[in-house]
Amino acid sequence: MAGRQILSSDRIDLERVNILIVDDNPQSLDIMYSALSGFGVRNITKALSAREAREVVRKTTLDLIVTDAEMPEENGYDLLRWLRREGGDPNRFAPALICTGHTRLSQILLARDCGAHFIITKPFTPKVLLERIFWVGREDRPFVECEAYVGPDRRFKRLGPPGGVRGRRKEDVSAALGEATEPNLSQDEINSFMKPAKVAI
Amino acid sequence: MSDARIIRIKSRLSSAIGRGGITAKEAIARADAAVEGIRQTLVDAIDAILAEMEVRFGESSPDGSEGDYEALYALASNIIDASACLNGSLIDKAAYALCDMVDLSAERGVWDRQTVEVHIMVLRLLRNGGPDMLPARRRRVVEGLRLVTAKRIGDVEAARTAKAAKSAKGV
Repeated sequence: MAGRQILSSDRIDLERVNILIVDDNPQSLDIMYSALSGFGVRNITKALSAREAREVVRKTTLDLIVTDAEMPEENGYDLLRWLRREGGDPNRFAPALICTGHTRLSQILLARDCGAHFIITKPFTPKVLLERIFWVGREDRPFVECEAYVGPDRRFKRLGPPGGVRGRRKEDVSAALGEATEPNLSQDEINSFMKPAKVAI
Repeated sequence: MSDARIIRIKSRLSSAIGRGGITAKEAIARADAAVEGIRQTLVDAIDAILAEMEVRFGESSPDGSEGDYEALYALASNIIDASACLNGSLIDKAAYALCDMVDLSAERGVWDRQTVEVHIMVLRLLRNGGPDMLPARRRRVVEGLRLVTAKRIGDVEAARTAKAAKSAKGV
């Protein structure tokens, strides 16, 4: 399940997975490469720009894409947006993580809508990176494809609609609960829920 | 509103988790060791970025780079990227505060040279502080940056608005 902390004893075998890492900053790319190599990944492709990344996406089957958010010519958000809409099979639905040190005010919505599975905050530690890989690998979030968004379902926390808003899911509680249909419980009945009682075994 | 299509995909990554391979503990230890192996390169990179920042935007720099939000933002971002090697120094937090300040300044069309310089001086202070600089002091210094930004950018913007209002009235 996504969000669960990894246990020391959890196992992972990344020897055969193909990972693409994208970052215009060579040092950042080196940190990512070193951490993934430490995890046992053998097939890591580096790209220094979104343009290079697109070439890799067109030629290679990828199991995970990790991209920087801020890049000079084309940012990571646009790269993932392109991937989800025009990336073609089989990579269109590949798990994707986006890394960012600082998110500009103007890019918050881009980050929300780009179609990434999770965001990793820089500077990251190998532990955080591994945790996100576990999350992505374990989750069963479906993809949602509609005019405004293509990517993993963003409603995975199941918090329900905001207060006073009518939900669109069957299981969403109605915004207005309406009048009670039965008489209120008496105080004795309420007390009986909380009062310890002797039980004969 | 367009119809949404729900697609269930089984990722190949899921088959890599749960059995075989190495434990998470082992994977993290190996990765930590691998990242430690490039630590000096990262420290050198931070020093080079900081030196460039001082030359282009610091106290003794010419006015040439004034208003170059993108360049300053990129340099600060690069410090954040490499700062995992200086864990505990809070240099990443100061660089983050600089990014915040530049982003806010660009959005409002304000460039306050003194605020930029203060951020660069704090980055240098945190970089050179070494173990003698206690964590509480580091935190206070970084917190101070946020206060400086809030005050200075607000002041500069207010002064500009007042000036514009005066000239509109022909005062």
